[in-house]
Amino acid sequence: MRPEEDPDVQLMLAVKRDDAAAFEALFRKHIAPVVGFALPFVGSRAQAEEVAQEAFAQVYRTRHRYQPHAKFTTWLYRIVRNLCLSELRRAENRSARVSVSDRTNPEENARPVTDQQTQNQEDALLAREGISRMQTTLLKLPEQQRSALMLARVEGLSYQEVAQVLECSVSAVKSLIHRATMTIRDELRDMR
Amino acid sequence: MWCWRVRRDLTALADGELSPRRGAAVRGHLEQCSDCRALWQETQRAVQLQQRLMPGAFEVLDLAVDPMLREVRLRLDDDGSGQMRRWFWHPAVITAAAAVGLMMVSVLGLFNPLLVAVGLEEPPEEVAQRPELFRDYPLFEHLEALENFDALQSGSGSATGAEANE
Repeated sequence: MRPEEDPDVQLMLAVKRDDAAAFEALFRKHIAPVVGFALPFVGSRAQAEEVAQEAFAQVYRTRHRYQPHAKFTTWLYRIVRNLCLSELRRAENRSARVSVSDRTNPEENARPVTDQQTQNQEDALLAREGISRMQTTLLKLPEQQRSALMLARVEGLSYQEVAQVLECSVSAVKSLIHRATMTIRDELRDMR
Repeated sequence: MWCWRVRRDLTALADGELSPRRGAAVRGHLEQCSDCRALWQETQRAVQLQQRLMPGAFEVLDLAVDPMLREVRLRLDDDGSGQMRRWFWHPAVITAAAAVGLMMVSVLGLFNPLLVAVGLEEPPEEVAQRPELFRDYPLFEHLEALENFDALQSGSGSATGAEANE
């Protein structure tokens, strides 16, 4: 998809013209995925929400400099990741890493069973367990591998777009995603 | 083709991120190499598993979107004052303010005290005629431009002194 065909790019161009409604539309659409992306970086939902809010504030502040060279999400996630890394650097001096169970509650984050009406109870439990193990494994990955993998698998960005977010080469992204995939494959080998 | 080179590309192949030419080369190797083919099937399963489970891993439910949006707007409102300060220092604004100031002092006559102060213009006639009215003004006493008052004062000073003697 060319950048100008991205509906988010059109909304962002409207934001650039000080359209508050367009900003609200972008905020409502992306705030939850952005909080989800920030969550494994910063360790708590409250901090992840804080980072997400600041990211959108930065989007608005820098709207006049926005150029539609790529998908809106590549620009957004670059801002989010930079904020997460800043937050990480601050947190490194403050406290030890929070345990996985403190960071997020997998049961809360899993889709409610009621949303999976087509699956039986056993499948739902297995799904929740799978999500929980996936979460634990993702948290063990190095930051760059996790970022690259989440952007590709969860946000649906291409390797080229992931490279733009991480500000590295496409071949580096290819390597990061491959290594992360192999690690997760080994960790969750017993799952299908 | 070496197996290790193919294995390095399997994840990208599963993600559809290999160029058509490279993809064809890797697929050609997989048809001939059973070890790499087994690894390819494993990689495909791993990618599918990730695609299925990862979106739920850090999915955020029940987000209070409206309060968060309000908070962002508040921050931006706070920034608004900062932007106003930056706007104030814009060169065009400074030029316009300087032009208005110059017009005020020149057209409205506010410029004259400055000219008098630097000695480029004579003081007003009233001042020259009745300097005693302004003698107690420290400002006037210290203005270099009013040095010529000394001469006036010394001229009328004898008269004043004579009056005092009387």
